[in-house]
Amino acid sequence: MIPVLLIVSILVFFMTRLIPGDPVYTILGMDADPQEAEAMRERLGLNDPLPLQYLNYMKNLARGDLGSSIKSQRPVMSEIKSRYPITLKLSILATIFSTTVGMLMGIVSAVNRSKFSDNLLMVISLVSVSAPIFFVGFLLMLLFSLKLGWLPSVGASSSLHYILPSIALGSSAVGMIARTTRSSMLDVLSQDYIRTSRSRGIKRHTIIYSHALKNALIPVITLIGLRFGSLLAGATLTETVFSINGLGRLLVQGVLDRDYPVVQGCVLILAATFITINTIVDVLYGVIDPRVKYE
Amino acid sequence: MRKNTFKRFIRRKMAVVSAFILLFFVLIAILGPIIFRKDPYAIDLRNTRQPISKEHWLGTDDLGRDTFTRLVYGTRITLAVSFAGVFIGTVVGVLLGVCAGYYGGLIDTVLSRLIDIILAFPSLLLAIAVVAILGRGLENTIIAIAVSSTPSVARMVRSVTLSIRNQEYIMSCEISGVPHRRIIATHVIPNTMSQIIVNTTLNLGTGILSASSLSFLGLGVQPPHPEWGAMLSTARDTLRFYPLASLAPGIAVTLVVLSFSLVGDGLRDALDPKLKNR
Repeated sequence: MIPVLLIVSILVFFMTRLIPGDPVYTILGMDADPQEAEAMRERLGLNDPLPLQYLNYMKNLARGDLGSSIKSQRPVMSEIKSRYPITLKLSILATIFSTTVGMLMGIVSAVNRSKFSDNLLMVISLVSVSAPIFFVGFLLMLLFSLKLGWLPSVGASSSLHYILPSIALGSSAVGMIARTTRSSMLDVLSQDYIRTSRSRGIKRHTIIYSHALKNALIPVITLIGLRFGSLLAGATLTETVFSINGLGRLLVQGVLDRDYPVVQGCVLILAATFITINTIVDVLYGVIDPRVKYE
Repeated sequence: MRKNTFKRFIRRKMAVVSAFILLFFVLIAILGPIIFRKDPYAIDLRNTRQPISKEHWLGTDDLGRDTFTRLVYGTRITLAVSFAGVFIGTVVGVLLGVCAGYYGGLIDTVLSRLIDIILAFPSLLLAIAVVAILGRGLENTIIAIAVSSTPSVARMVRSVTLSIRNQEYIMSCEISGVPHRRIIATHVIPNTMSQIIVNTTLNLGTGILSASSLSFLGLGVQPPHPEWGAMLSTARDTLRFYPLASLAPGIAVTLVVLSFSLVGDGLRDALDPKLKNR
């Protein structure tokens, strides 16, 4: 985890150095005063040799200093701090939604293999993977807030505000989780011990939910861990649709304004988050499946 | 063998239907602007937010632009952007993957590590980062899609190349002094072709999703160009009064992405029957 984070920090550091042309002029505009540009270059430390620049960057990072926004002049860290919880909450709720619905769909599909309900659920899951998050958001907003008026449409001021965005965001993962659960359950259900349990007269319900499901979980958990990063990235879309001031919105606004410290900070925090989640998922394997051992 | 592949593909009804849907959209992208000779940029403030009518098949938007015409022109832009991006990404990915898998050693270690790390990034975040570096616009959207589709292709080609690399016919080529470059061009790449085709088909769907997502965020193709994601983005403000302007491009994106993934699945089963029933 630590080496990956280090490499990510190097990549993010080089992001601004990769910008074609002079970053100072990109920031200030082409017709900027040369003296002003030189002052900015000095202030951003762009005249130092690259390794020293990286070292300074890491030093600041260790102190929790991500630099200041070029546009608002406020420290990037404080901007991120106020918005991060919103995006994290959104992604976690979306994960809970997609996991519950996806796994239920997968189990029902596997148990009713090749029947009508199986085919129907698989079509739904395919559509959910193919529909863009923002379009699903539009549909939900149109139906539940604008036509029916049940839920608020924009903002994040109450917990009710989170329902539609989380469903929209989670919808993209529902299909994948359903398909993985289905194929993993089918694998497990065809094994000998399931037949043995059945012949011993154990209730169908017990077999499916406590014997089979436990063993079918590993690939599903891997997928949920892997999808978390996409959900964080997808939050940029949901937050745009529902006008939520989260980290995703900050990132997009940063890119639009060419506000590099903001963009660097957001990418770094998002990457750190999903790398941490993936590590936690790795540890979880051992808890769920004692057969998985670590050196 | 090709005949069998075709037969196996035909048997999958969903995949065939999807293939026809895609063909339809490709034809629209090529011929649409020739058949429907309306201006997708023409603003007509006397006819804003019109409902469906003979004159305007899908009504008009906030500025009185004909939604159907914009959808037709948008097909061309959306498909072209993702085709170009995925094509570049595939070519680069194949080259990297073949190099890593064929030559092995340090090249392989470095490339594989790099690919693993880039793959850990969600593709949308990667695309946003590319746009952050290069700036907005059509060409940069293509590059962003190319960058985000490269690593998966590279990894797939690498693993196939590794399995081919140690086979006897490759060894016999080497012994008889055929240069590496020729072995790669005449034996390795043709043998990875079926996987490349499947992967490219699936990537085209993802490419369209990324392109429309970027444009929706305002980071990709810029309005007034009628890219589907950009159309959805403009339609956001009028969702309440005029939902048709967002429904039409949204359904189009979903349908095309769905078709690509069904055709990709069908192709995989048709090209590699061993994988069937998994």
